[in-house]
Amino acid sequence: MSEFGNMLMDISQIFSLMLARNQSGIEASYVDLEHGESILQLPGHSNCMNWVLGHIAVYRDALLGAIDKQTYMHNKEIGIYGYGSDPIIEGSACADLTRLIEALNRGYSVLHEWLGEYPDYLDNVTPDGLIVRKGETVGQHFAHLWVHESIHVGELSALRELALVKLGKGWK
Amino acid sequence: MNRTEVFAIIFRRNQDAILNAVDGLSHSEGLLQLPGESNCMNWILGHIATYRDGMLADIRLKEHMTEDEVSLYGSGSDPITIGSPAVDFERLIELQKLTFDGLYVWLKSDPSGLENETRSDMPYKKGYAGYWDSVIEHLTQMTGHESIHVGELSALRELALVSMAD
Repeated sequence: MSEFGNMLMDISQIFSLMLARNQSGIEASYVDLEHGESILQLPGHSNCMNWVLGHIAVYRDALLGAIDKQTYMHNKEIGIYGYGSDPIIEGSACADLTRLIEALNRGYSVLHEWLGEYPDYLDNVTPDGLIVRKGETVGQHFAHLWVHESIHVGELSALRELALVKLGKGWK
Repeated sequence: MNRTEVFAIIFRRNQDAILNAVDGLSHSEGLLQLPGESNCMNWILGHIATYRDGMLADIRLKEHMTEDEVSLYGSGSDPITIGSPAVDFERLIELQKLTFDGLYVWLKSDPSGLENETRSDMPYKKGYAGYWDSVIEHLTQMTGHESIHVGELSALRELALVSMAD
């Protein structure tokens, strides 16, 4: 089976496929949930869904910035969701769930389109001044941030389960 | 940058997160359950190892899991709970190391054969061995899959630490 026929897969196609998988995981996580459910806490020191989604959005901005595209998270939001930020619990300052979804969808659309158009750009030097800079080339920067994003996407499934239990619903 | 470097970066990051998640835990903590229908750590570790072994099979490298082990952790397999048949935690950690070493050493060797066809002679289902047309597509589909499952381990480790503190 192949989604790519007889074409040779290049790096931009690899990234595009990973981005699409992550975005699907993100979208599946919040279906039928509201802001209040995104603040629910699992045992221990895990982060809630609101923090995870905001964190992913901040790091998507680091992808967008590396290719000179508009970013979507404001400075205050970067403080709330950046690396090492405080956990978000009930009563904490945080963005509304709908705002986070909007930022994630916008970033996804731009990255998805760009990956199909500018594959050669991945060999360019990663610019300075980003929220986070991983790797000397844009391709390396993307690879590091992609796996970072995927791991955080994985955290969403247990948080969705928690929300569904709270709502008295099953997973499917 | 070549394509194998992308996969090497991802596997390295995944492996570091896996080893961090299991550090100091034992078999019983691997069976703890979060609310709802999430999988326990034991199932996730076995699932990751199974899919890695499927990648090794398509690359024609040494495989490490037995058919009995694979049968517990494939797609759609039953959840593992206390009392279920399950592979021992130490064996699962060993499998993480064996499968990672096989894949990572190969990726860092600047290998040819990324466009090779996948196997058509698998004796039983092991991950996605033989499913995708080419090795490169198999790696692309399954490295992202693996990272997402790795992400599931962090909340399970927190659960284990809470359990051990009680």
